[in-house]
Amino acid sequence: MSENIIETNGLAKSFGNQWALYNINVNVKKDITTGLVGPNGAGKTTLFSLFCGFLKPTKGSVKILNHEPDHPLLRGRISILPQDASLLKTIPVGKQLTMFAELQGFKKRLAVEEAERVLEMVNLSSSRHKTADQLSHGMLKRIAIAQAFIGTPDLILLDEPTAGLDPGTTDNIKSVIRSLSKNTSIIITSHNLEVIEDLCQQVIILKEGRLHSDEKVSDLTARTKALTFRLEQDADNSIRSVLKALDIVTEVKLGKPGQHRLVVHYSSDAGQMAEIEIIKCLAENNIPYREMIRGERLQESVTDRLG
Amino acid sequence: MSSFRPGVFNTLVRQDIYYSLKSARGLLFLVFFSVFWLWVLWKLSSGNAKMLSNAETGFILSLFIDPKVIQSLFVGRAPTFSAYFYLAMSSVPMFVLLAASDQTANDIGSKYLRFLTPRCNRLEIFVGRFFGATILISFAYILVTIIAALISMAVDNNGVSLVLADLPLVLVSLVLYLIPFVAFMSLCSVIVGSAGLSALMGVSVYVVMLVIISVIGIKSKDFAEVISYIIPNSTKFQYLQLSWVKMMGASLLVPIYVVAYGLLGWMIFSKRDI
Repeated sequence: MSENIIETNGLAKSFGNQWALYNINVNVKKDITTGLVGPNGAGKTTLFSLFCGFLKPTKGSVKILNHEPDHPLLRGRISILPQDASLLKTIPVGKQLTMFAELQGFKKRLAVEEAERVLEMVNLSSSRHKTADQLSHGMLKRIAIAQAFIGTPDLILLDEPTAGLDPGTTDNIKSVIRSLSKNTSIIITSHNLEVIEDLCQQVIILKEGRLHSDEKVSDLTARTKALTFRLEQDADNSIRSVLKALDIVTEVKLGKPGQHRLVVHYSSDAGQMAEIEIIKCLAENNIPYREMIRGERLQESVTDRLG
Repeated sequence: MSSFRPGVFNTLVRQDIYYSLKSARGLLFLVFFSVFWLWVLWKLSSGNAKMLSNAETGFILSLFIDPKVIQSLFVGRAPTFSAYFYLAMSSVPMFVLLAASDQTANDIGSKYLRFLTPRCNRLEIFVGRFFGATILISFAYILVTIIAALISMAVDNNGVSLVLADLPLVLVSLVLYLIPFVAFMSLCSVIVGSAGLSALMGVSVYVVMLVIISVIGIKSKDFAEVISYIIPNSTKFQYLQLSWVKMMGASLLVPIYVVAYGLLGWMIFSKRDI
């Protein structure tokens, strides 16, 4: 039995003359949570849709749990949160979840209970009798997430699970995903790299329709000794030379305009005083910051890699 | 690869009929259907259809309708029920093209199918939607036929015995006749992403084919007759003769139409992006 839950071989997809994905060879490991990231147009949703069988490959192949995406043996073993699919407008959402559960093999009474359970998970039990038209965008998103939690799938694929959700609900969804990840392999696509960093062990980075890298999140976030600052305002380039004047500093990265970000890498043999020296240097040069974290965040690491 | 699970298929059909009765498209069909037949049945309940049994009226009718059909329908039968049957058969294309237009089309457009495909195979969805539409439309026609039968029994001379003799044949003929149209709309419905477009496509193809067949018929009647079998109403003439033998002959074409349209539709649906 393969250790990979998804394997692709020369996978490519074109829409007309435009290649959305080209020659993707990637293995997604079992029993972990994997993030799929990249800028707009990188091909995340296309790759996700190929994993799910929504789209058919133009070239190459994809295997999910050792089967093609449409294979009958996969029914009930994978759950999917599609990004832009709409629920039926005239049937109460609780009833729709019951219908999904029935299609997954639950008997009528158990299907009703399963729908209740997943609605409870996303804190929407009270909305089960409402139709899609009566719910907000965020609530519909949570209903769509709830349908992906029906049953006991081996693999859950979530396309932008926290997009459009308020911070409190995002935390709730993250906590549910975290608890499910103990028993299930999960793949998440998201623009929110904080979500990916919080939930994923592995990250696949796409750029312009090609596989950019496939690495452990821990490698991306703790590769070097670094401090990441969120500044009050964007720093100008002079800070680079000021910080580089310190013997311990090996690299200084400034965020793009508007990001208010500064990442300072220091040498691995620097002592414990290194962090204090860097903070002192910022204070002496009158550069206030709102937040400091040890290491480099996934956000910075990925942004840096994608140029 | 697709396997077919009867349990999932049954659930899909049940859910499709339930949704049809709750959705705008289903209700739209039922409202149109009900209003049309309320009006027609109200007119038939006056008993005016009895005039169609007269030789004079039959002669005038024969200018527009095949004399064989007139003889079969209006000689020795309950005229009100026969008139209903003729109108019902003529209305089948119109109502089926409307009612069966959204087997998969809207769900492709709204991407609702993405909630279904992790749970069922595309084949189960495709066949389930075909059966759901067939059952809904058949049920509507069966209900109207029973009401028409009751009206005919009340207004026609010897209505009860004549109608009871014809009722099973009329019901079977109507259901058999409408099935290929549903299959035709299965094909149209997988090509486009909205029920409106699907209906428009179905009506357009149907009307264009009728025109082409008529034009060919001017040059060569035999060739036009062969070509006419591309669309399902080629069997209407056989059904209208209200004979078990003719009906069974026509019914042999039902599976051929269903397989032909269904296979084409399935080939597209199984490979298309959803």
